[in-house]
Amino acid sequence: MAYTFDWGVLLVYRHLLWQGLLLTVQISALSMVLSLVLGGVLGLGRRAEVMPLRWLCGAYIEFFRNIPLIVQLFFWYFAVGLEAFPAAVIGLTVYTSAYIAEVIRSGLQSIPRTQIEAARSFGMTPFQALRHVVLPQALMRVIPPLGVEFINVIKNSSIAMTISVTELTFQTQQIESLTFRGFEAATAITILYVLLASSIVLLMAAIERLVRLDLRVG
Amino acid sequence: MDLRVIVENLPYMLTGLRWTIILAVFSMAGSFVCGAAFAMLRLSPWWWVRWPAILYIDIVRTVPLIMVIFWAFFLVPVLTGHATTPVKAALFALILFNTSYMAEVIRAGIQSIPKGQVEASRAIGLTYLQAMRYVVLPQALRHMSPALVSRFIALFMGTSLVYIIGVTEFFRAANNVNNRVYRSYEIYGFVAIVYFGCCYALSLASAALERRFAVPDGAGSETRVGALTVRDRPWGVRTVTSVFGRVTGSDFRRPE
Repeated sequence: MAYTFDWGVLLVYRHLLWQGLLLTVQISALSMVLSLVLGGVLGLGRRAEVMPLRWLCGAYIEFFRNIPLIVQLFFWYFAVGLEAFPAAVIGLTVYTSAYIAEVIRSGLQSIPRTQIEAARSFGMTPFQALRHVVLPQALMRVIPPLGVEFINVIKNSSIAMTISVTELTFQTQQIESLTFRGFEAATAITILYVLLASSIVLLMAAIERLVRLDLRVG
Repeated sequence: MDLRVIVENLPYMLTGLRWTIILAVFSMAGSFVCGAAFAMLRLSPWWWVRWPAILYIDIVRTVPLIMVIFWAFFLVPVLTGHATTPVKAALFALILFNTSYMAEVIRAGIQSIPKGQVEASRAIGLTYLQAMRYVVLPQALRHMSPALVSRFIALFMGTSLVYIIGVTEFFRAANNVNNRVYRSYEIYGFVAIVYFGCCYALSLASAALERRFAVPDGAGSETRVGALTVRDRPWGVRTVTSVFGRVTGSDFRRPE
């Protein structure tokens, strides 16, 4: 191996790494929140009583899940003509919400219908049954798969580099072209991605514990 | 709307689509073989075999595919001293990336077969490898067929990312056309529809396989912990049931 390492470049260009990390976190966090809301609505809509609504939500989910994210981002950026950052957030949200909707749907589906019927026969309104019986239990079940989707958001945010968003992966290339030290930059940034994913795992575990405590108290 | 640009450039874009299919099929085959090997390593009784496999599988799954492609194309040549072609680097990256996911799918498939079957096979005189070959794997393959198709869909969509290292697959071919004629709506709309058509057809196939090979509720290993029954079902699904009903759902990430 004729390559000598120079890890000092990371220190010299730490402002680029920091900038990239900040942007990755911003895009991911925004998309996570937005796609959780949109995905939640779609997941509920998928279980709605009204046929056209159910069909519409299903069509949305199938459509956006089956098109590569890079194609969607290019569409928002080049065809629609949005700025890079909003294009990345919108693209990521539209794509991820289709996956999250499926997670929510299967969470809701795992609650037996008889529980809703029992809640209704107690005199609860449909909304009360949803709020007090179905959602708390479904929430427990969707936390682990939601964590996987959130990690996917962080990973997928790297695709935003192709539409010139200067996030982490973009900065790898930037440092590489400035210093020819792509190896060191890529190592550092790979480690940053692993750390980001680990923090999501820890966060979801903490939320799971909280929710479980909350249920035990009643 | 001007559909003429699509019709005129269709042959060129279809050559790109051919490369997309080639990349997807070959990297699927490669990562199936490597994934099976890693699944075996991960199920090994020796920790010094198991831990490196777990490390590889869990680290690669948290890294974006673009980073893996970047590693394969720009960094491996630096270390080895040999330049690679974009197609080789793309195949290498896709296999490297997908192997970690395939290993998990295959591991879950193998674990979906009750241990008793292996023990029974051994008892009637089959060797361990024969038991794997004739008893466990045929059933495991059936159980994991929907998940395999899902992985293939993900891989098919993932090939669009190797456009960044200059492989002229479908997405890059379409981009080249767009750079020349500048008809973004038509071109990217068309690209979206083609990808959707391919992937949706595959996902219908996956759903059909799932119905065909649905695993009965009792399948998988079962352990009792006090009043709880822990059941490991196929595809890494773990359910915990108590006398009050099911308490937790699936957790794909936790080993064993």
